[in-house]
Amino acid sequence: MTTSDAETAWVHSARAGSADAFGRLLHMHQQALRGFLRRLAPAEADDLAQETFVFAWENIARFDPARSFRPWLFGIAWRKHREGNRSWLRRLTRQGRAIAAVPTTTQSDPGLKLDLEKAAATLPPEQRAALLLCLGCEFTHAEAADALALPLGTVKSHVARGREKLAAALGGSHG
Amino acid sequence: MDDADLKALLMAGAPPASDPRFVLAVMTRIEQRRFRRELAMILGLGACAMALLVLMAPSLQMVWDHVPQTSNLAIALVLMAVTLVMPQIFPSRD
Repeated sequence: MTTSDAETAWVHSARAGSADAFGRLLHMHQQALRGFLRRLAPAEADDLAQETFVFAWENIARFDPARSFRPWLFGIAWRKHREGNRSWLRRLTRQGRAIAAVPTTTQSDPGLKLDLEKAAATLPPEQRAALLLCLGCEFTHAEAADALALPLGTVKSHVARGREKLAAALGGSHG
Repeated sequence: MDDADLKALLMAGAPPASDPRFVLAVMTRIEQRRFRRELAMILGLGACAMALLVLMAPSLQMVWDHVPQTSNLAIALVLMAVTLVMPQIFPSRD
């Protein structure tokens, strides 16, 4: 059984109400989802990821099994991130909870990390999300378009422009 | 800086591939939400049943007084059986 077959089987079981199958999906996608959210909203990433998985579990019956699970899941995360930015109260609560759970990351070059964060912060949110999905999470352009609910052409152009901007910003400071 | 470098940089510092603490935290949150929702449903249904019983009490008392003792016992048993069967009819997710 391939990973994709296993995922399809788990999605079907989770839709039928199996918490165990959902646990396997959670285990399978947590790394990529948290990585994506850490680049979008470092302080509240894990809390946002938890909210995403809880929402996915509660709404998995609405998920169309003909679609791919990963873009659906990341789409929820993206919408939650955007909603969180609009609601100051939710953001405050999340940041409060995040204080106790600062992500532990290992980075070989802290200077480069700061440069990356600075350069990424200058990108428009949708451009940054498209770039993170396609380069950081190995999404296809079509999957990223599905997750971000954007036309395919827009995603392609976001990725190309974002890549150029980041490469220019980082290349300039680090050769 | 080429594409591969950029990709490596974006992927660096990712969370661990296996993180039981995170999985446990999510499952705990799911259980808490489910518990709260089920508790609210049970309390709501209980309150409705109580209100209905209070409204119907005078009529029920009249019926209760006019049926024989053995029928009273049968009614009580039926009510107990309904109470026991309810969770089978409306099971919670596993």
